[in-house]
Amino acid sequence: MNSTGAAVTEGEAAIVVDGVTKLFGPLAALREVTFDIAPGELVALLGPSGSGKTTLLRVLAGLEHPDGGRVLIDGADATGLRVQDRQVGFVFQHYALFRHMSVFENIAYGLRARPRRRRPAEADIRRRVGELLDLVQLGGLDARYPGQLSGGQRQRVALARALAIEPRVLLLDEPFGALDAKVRRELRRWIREFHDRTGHTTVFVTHDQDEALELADRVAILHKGRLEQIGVADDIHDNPASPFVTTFVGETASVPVTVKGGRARLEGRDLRVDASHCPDGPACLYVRPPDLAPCDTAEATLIGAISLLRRTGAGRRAEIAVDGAGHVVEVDLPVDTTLRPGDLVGLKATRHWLFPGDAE
Amino acid sequence: MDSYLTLLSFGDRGWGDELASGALVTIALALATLPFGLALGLVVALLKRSSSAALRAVGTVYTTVFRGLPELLTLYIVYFGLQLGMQHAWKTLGFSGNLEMPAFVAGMIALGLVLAAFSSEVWVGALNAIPKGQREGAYALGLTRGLAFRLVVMPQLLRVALPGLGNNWMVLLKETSLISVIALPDLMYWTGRANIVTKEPFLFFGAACLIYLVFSLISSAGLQALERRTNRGVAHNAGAGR
Repeated sequence: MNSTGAAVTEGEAAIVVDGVTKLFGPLAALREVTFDIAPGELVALLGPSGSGKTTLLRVLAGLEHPDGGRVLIDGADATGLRVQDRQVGFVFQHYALFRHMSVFENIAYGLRARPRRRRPAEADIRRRVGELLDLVQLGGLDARYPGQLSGGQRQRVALARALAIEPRVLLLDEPFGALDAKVRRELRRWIREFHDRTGHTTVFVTHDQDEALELADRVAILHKGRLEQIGVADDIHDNPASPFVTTFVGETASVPVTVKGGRARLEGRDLRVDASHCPDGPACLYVRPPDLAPCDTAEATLIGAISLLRRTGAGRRAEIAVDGAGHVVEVDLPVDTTLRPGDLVGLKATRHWLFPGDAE
Repeated sequence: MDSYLTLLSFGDRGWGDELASGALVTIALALATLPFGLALGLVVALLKRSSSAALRAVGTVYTTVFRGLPELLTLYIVYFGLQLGMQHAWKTLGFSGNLEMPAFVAGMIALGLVLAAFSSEVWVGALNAIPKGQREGAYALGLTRGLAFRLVVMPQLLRVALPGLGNNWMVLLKETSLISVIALPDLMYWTGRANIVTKEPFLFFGAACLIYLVFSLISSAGLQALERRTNRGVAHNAGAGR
């Protein structure tokens, strides 16, 4: 799996996004995004606000049309197709349930509104809606209106409504965004089980990395309209493809260094870091607190003075200034540590990342 | 007291049948104007929310003009101006004879144009109150733009717009009284005639007041029932359908 994310061949992919660009005036919301999704896969689009993830989801749905590139669904070019003709199920961030219709009418609507020749018989519609209500565990609530439901229930009605039209692909925009933390966690588990049971190819948008890493088969990380990396959760966490991914996933500290002749230097001292892949010039070293441990300065990756020591639950966390410019890395220490603020300490990094250029 | 009752009675000696027929004309005119004015108002509202600057300008100019002109002036312009225009066109096309616009039609057009200007503001507010997600939700289920508007947006639009449109209806009902100036035999026309003949202004204008009040009370009750019906299921919350 590379950072552009070709997981399957074009013929067997449920969705292919090929060089998609989307402009809003002079602003590029998406810049040549390319990846594909296998049938039955659950993929998260993860990124900060304004990264282009919702725009990408809307392009997949046909609610927005790209200015460049193409979208294939089940091998057929869907780029020019309207949303009405794509047969995708879309669950909106705020559900977009029809407020003047009951739960039953909401779910049945996509079937009832079909042209007469494609419309199922009323008995079939009733049976299908009943099945979907059972599937989303809302049996008995069919006569209620959206205004009489909790957030979690509305979310599931929206999901049932999207599934009623038997979509080829299911798209969810921030499906848990409007829910409180407890309901989010419950619904997260439920969605994963639901996906495993139904096997729909599903794409969902989130800005919550825990959500993405816990739920998705693969995670696509977007930043400023570009696809930074796509891969399984562990791969993204352990092998970030760019400075942005490194800092976005997990708690990461960055230290500006200089690379010369395959060696990384910090304030005139050679660091015990492999910099052979980096060109000469400024670079940035990224480390995470769980990967750091105090050690003898002779073996240290980084050396610095403790600037702050604070209690964190069962242990202590030290902030260590590693250069004169005030760059700080954090390290977890045992509660009975003898180290004190001002002490010089060596830090050994069991894992680190070095990227050319200035800090992200 | 007996003489008053006689004057208001039905038949040769009283004015009851004239007032009743005038009341019917008033109601007929208001009911005929309502769909025309509201439909035109919705079109104007859509123009005002258009992505095209030219169409937005057309909508804005329309509402500015017809909200700014006195209704009576609009009525005269339509009745006399349109009549002249029609006759000119009739002759230009080579037809002979006079073409006259019925007072009822003139009244309906004039009041409809004014109603459209005022109701367009109500429609704009209601359209703005309906989240984009409602339309997009319908598109995602396979509905065309027209179907989405008719089946998903319109029912919600009516719910939001109904109080404002109800006010427009009440105003329209009262504005029909202006039509008597172009000799349409509505309630005010017959009230005026009865007053001239009997010299009993208090009696007949009082009777007209009561009839208009009855219309208003019936309208209020009807509007409340409509509001209850359109508010099914939405009283509990606001956020279900963003």
